[in-house]
Amino acid sequence: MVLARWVFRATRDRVGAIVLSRWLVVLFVLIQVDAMVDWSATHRIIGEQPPWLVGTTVGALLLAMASQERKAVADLLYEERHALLWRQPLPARHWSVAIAMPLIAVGSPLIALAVIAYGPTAVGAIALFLGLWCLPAVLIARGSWVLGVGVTALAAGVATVAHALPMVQIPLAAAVWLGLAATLGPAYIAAASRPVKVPKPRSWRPRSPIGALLHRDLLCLWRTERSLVLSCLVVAAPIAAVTWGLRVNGHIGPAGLATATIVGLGFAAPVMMGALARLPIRLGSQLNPPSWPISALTRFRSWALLAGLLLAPSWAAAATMGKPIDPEHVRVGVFLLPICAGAALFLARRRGQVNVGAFLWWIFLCMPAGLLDLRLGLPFALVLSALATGLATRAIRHRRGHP
Amino acid sequence: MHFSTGFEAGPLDLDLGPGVHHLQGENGTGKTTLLRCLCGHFRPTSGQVRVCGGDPVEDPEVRRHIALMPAEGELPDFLTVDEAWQQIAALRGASDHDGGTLRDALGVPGGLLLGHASAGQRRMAEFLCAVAGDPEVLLLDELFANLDPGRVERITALLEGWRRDRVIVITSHRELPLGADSTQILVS
Repeated sequence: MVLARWVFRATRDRVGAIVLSRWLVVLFVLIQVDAMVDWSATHRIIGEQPPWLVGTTVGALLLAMASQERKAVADLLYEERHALLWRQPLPARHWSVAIAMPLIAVGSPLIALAVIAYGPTAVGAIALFLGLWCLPAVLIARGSWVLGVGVTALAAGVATVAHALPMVQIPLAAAVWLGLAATLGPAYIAAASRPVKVPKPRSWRPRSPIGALLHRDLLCLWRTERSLVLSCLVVAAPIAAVTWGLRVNGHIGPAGLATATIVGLGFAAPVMMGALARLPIRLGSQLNPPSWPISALTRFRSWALLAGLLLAPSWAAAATMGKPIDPEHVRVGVFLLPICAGAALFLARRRGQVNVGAFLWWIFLCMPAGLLDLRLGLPFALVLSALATGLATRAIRHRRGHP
Repeated sequence: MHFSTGFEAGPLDLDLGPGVHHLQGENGTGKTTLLRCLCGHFRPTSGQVRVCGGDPVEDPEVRRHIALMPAEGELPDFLTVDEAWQQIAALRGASDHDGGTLRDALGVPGGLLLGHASAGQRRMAEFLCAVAGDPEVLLLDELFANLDPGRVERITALLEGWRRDRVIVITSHRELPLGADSTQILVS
């Protein structure tokens, strides 16, 4: 009980925020589709599907949800505050109850899934889905992917049996929860005690101040916010697909492809800014210590370059899939210039956290730079970039020397 | 130096040349504040600070010659020991600085992640960063805290070799294991 109270108090605020945000989305979607869907027919159709298909789909959804909530679960359950208790002589199974509460809360959107599949009275399905999610979530949150995927495959098997034999859903759910009582806590403690990977030593070292700054910031993002860096890579895929589709199916020429690329990069830019916004949170006062022997302009340039590096995969993807763009890449470059300068500006002028929402307005402001003719767009881009540079370096200098 | 919290450090009139200077004082007398003023972290509210003939707040070239080793570890956990000092060396324009030899002499693994390091190992990493690029002014806040006697001896030997051509300011509540050329005592 003490353990359960500890975990509850340590996590309740963040769990509340997570649950609220997830359910707002779920309810919004459900309300939208409610008018279009015949739920009785949906239940009948799902009921007629082969059990292996339903089981596989449930397994895939559990895996997707465990991956999606990986960071949230890790922040809740594997934070340093709990380490004090990991070291205590407590039976590992006592943790099963303690961590089940936040796990059920984070996984609660699965209730909507169970209701959609089996109806609102399918209590057994609801309990089963929530139970099947807990163990994969705990394992994947700690990076134990092989074990997590293996357990998810088992969960898919259980879901297959539950679909094939609806009358055993409640006993099956009870069995799953009994099993979790014995295994969830030990799995959690074993994952918490797992040796953490250490980076491999490399012979490369930065050769310039800008190189050192880029190296440090990239390492910070890669080692502490890897999912955000990967998001900057993933966002390149739809940009590439749209560019390719426009070229092949739409027979759009270079100018049109460049415009599509610029619009696509306009969608990628907030993802980039979301990643950059984590730097001040992770580094705190070490983001730009005043004692470093670098000028404000050097720091500004390093951030702008970092922004460009994070956007480079999207640009490269569009360039590869929309090959005839070639001469129009100048417009894309002209668009990216103030975008990167603006990203550095938002980092420099942050008050506490970076205002990623306001950055959307900056992207909107930069759009004419790329969409207009070069004779107008280029001067506009240069003016915006100069403005961003001036304001950012002023902000960096202002922070220096003030306690 | 005035802070909005009401804390005041100073006034001070100080002129430090090459050698080892011991900065003493009770807790809260402004030893760390003084070091942070000297390295350009803080701008003094009155008076001026000149290091190597320049203003450390305004001129990044002046800061290249100054190194601060803070009392509280400030290096990020996600870096390894080697990455930390190599980055600082590159920031100081000394990308060829050979910190590996000193690192081996101090017995710190280069691939050790700072988040996994002990308190003493982190102090060593901070020291390696402080001396990366061979700065002329070393501001070492509580240098010997958390260090075992062996490492204290090794660092003392290093500092003895540097005292003729570097300004070394060390804060400590205790007597230094190496002789100080001057002792400054701050009072509140």
